[in-house]
Amino acid sequence: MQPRRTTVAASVIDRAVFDGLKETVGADYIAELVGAFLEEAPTLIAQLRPALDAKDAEIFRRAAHSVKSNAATFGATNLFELARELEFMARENRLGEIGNRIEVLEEMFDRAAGALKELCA
Amino acid sequence: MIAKQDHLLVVDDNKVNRMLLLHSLEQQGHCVTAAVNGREALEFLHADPFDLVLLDIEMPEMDGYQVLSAMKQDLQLCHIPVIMVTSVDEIESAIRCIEMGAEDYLPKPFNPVLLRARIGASLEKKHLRDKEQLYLHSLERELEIGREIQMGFLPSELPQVDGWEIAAYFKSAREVAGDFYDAFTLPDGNLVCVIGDVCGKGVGAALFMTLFRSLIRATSTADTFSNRKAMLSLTPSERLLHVISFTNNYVAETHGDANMFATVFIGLINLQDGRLSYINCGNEPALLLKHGVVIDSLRPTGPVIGVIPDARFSVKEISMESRDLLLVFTDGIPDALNVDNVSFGNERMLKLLGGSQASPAQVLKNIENELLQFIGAAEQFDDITLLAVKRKA
Repeated sequence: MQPRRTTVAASVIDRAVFDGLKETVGADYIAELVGAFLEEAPTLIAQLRPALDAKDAEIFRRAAHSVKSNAATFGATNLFELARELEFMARENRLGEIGNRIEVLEEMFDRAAGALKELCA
Repeated sequence: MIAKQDHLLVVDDNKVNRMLLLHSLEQQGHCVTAAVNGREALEFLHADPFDLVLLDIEMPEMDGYQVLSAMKQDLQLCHIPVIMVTSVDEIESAIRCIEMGAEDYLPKPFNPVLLRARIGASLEKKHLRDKEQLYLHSLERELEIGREIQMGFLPSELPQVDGWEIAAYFKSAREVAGDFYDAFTLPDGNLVCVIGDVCGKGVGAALFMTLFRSLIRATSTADTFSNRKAMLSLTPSERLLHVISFTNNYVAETHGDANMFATVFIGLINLQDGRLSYINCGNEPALLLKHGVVIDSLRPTGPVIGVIPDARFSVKEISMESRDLLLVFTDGIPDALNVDNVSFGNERMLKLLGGSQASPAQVLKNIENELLQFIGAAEQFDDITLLAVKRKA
């Protein structure tokens, strides 16, 4: 075990969830899953800003929902919590209160992505 | 025997979820196809047979509710079990889907043990239902064969005889019937007409219907097979007594344990002089009509047949004159019920008999139309059988 990697990953990824998934699907396949997530999530996150500008709560909600779902799968707890909050705000038509949450979400995703890459390396 | 591999359809717009389910289910030995949205799912479902669908709720274009609703309204797809794939925040949606006909739900992120257990349970139920359906279809097919064979026990066409008109109407309440009718001419030129109603319903009644009908037909025309001289010398009365006594004793003695009986009206008409000899074994009174008015009611002259060995029957004789019409029917006509549980009764039928000009076919058509309209949306619970014979002018 390498202490440095563990520390970085542990702050954004719930290892119990990640290791459980890894055990279920195997080390090779989890890398493929992470690859798919890192490829798909930026597209989803990129939909948030235009949807907010267009006041399209439905597109906003669905994109947040998908990010939330995958974040939960990999144990990206903070990302999951924030994506969930965004989904709820869209559902309740409170897009006006979003503030800087999209930027925070982008940041959280970057950190989760980095940690997941490390864990798969 | 190699077990058939189940074919599962995963429907999810989220690539990671799709990959995860595909991988897990393939590892569990299933054959899996994935659809990226609801519309594609329905296309796949119509193209190939699937054993189970794992359906995401949140999808663009066509969501899980719409796919589920379309499947449940489609006779081809409604039997395929659907497991909804939901996030922890969607329990209420999952409940709504189960109310709509979904089999179960699976929370995301997937727990492999739960995934295996729920899919296993759903597939097991599906296989049982499939077996049940196969069994039901084979039963239906058997009943259909039974129905076709039984129809062969009714005359394919009625005798055409100079100076007389004959018509019949028959409508069974179920696939197979306990009622029967028959009309045939004897070698001596006389006409025999029979109507019968075996107690009970369904296959049991149908089997006994074939027995009663065959015995009556065979004993009526036995002179075509053997002992020709003896049979030819029988008077109409002796012949009718021979037919009914033989049939009654045969069923009562050979099949007494079954406790099956039949009401029967059998008439033998001398087509030359119009003499009608008959035995009514517990059947509805047959009606003799002149100018559309009942002039005689041919009530029972003996008990039902098939239960009392050596029961006594008597033969009565009346004369049918020009334009007289004989109407014989089973209790399915007066006893027919409408949606308000009111019975059709004899009175209603008597108003439909027409005048002296009405042909037997017209009289039966009138009764049929009125009766079917009367029954309406109510379930026909008993077989309906009518036979009409008219002496022409």
